Amino acid sequence: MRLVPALERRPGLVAFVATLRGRLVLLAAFTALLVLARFPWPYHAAAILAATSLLPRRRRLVLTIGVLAWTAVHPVLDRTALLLLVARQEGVAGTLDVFRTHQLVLLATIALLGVVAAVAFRWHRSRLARRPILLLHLACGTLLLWASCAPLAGTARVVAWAFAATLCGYLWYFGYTLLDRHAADRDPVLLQVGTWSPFWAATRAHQVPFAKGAAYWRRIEAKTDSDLAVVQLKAIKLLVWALIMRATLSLFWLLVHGVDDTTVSARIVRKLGSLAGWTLTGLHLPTFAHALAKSIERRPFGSLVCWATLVAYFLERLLTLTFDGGVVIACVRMAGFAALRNTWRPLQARSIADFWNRYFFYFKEMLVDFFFYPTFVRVFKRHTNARIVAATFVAAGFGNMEFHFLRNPQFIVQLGLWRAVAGFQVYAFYTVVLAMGIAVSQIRARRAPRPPPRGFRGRVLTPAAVVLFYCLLSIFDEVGRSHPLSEHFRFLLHLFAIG
Amino acid sequence: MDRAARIREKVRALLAARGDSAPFADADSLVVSGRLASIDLLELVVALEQDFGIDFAERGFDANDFDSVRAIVALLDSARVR
Repeated sequence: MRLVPALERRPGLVAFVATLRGRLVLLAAFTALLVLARFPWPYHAAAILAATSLLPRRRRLVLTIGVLAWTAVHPVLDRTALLLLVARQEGVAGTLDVFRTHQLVLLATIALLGVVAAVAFRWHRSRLARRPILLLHLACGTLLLWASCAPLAGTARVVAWAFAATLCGYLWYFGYTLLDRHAADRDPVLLQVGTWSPFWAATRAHQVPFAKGAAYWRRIEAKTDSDLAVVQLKAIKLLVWALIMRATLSLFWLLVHGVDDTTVSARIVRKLGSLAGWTLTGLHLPTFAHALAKSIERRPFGSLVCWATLVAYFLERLLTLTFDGGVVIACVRMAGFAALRNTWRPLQARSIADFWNRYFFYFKEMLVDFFFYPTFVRVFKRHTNARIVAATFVAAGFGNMEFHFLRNPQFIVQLGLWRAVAGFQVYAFYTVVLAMGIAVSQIRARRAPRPPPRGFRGRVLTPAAVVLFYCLLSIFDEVGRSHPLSEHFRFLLHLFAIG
Repeated sequence: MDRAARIREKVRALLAARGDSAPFADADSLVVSGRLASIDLLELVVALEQDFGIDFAERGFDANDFDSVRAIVALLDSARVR
């Protein structure tokens, strides 16, 4: 049974949506759903989507204009809070217009990256352009070091941080542009700009390039009116699915933690409950953060309660990511690109590597594109398993760590560079165990390639074991620098009544 | 067995390991359509290196070269391999 009907398989509906009137009706419905999903500035997003729908041959140019306009009005990569912190530390918060400085640096960075892309495209066979991604990452690291350690003061340090933090934000988007440099059908720089943090990234500051870069866009772009109608109907379906996930999350919060939220979906849940004569009070289970805090205070909850909080935490994160990714990909599809879903049936994963592929698809793709294959094709060529282990550690370990470290530069400002690095131990541990799990899972799959197991074992036991691994690992999925690794281990041991 | 047939056989085995037994044409998208995960390509990379002598470290790796049987054959043609 389908919760959301397969709209795109109804020829009459597809034919209607391919007309001007149909597009406008669909756009109005999509905008209403965006409002329900609490998309930031939904009418601005709708304006861009209207332009891409009505000018499908110019959609890439429209998206470039959209990126520039969105950046000028309400930047997706918002570093204002970070710059205010630096400005306060430097004693210039009262005199410097931080917001304006940030906007100017954002636009300057886009212009600078445009020039770098043009140079990289023009001389893509030169010696320097052989490893542009490596150079880009080195440049970003150097800029970060300069902003945090160079003898700068006042406005100069704020501006240095503005450039460093902005480049860190664009690092992955721009990386996809550089990967496109050799392509025979490569897009010009002007159209590449449209892929740098488009409006759909505004839902959450993930900084993950959903729908990757221009090379992927060219392959998934709707070519005909009928293609566009199909992909836009899929966008509506996905957005409805995302809202169902959001309502499920609200219900989950209400039933498990007894926490009421103010979203429309929560109001619907409450209304349905009252109509049925139910009083939804919930189990009042503590949150994972609360359970961890109690463990740190040496007054832990019972281990069964801790297990329950951990499972609830895992499911909440799953629902949240399904909602967030669903909204983003719905926007991508509405703009005319038939992108794959971000989260797809993760609870059916049959291995650790399979779950990683289904859970956060575009983050995994990013690590595969920038770290896995560049390593895989270069090292241990005679030993495939060793290649897999090395490439997986570089991607799921180092790449994962680098992404999360650069995504949160405020810790460097607050704690200083070295304490921010040292405090990253919890997430570093997480990435090492994750990489180990994925590598072993891939090697096992290679050793005994066989169709997926069926029956109770295949449908229940194997996915449950995979979920258990990720559930336990989520204890360490923490990028904050509040508690040392030992406290997370204490919580883990307490689950098994040890210590 | 010609090159295209060898590639088809590899692709069929990869799809079978994912529980996908549906037929595919040489031009059908495998990765962009989601039938194969990008990580599945490592088996094809190893096969192309071992069977056809391609050095991806030298020529660069592009996942788009692996999106269909036809694309892989074109990659072999462009590399002028045995």
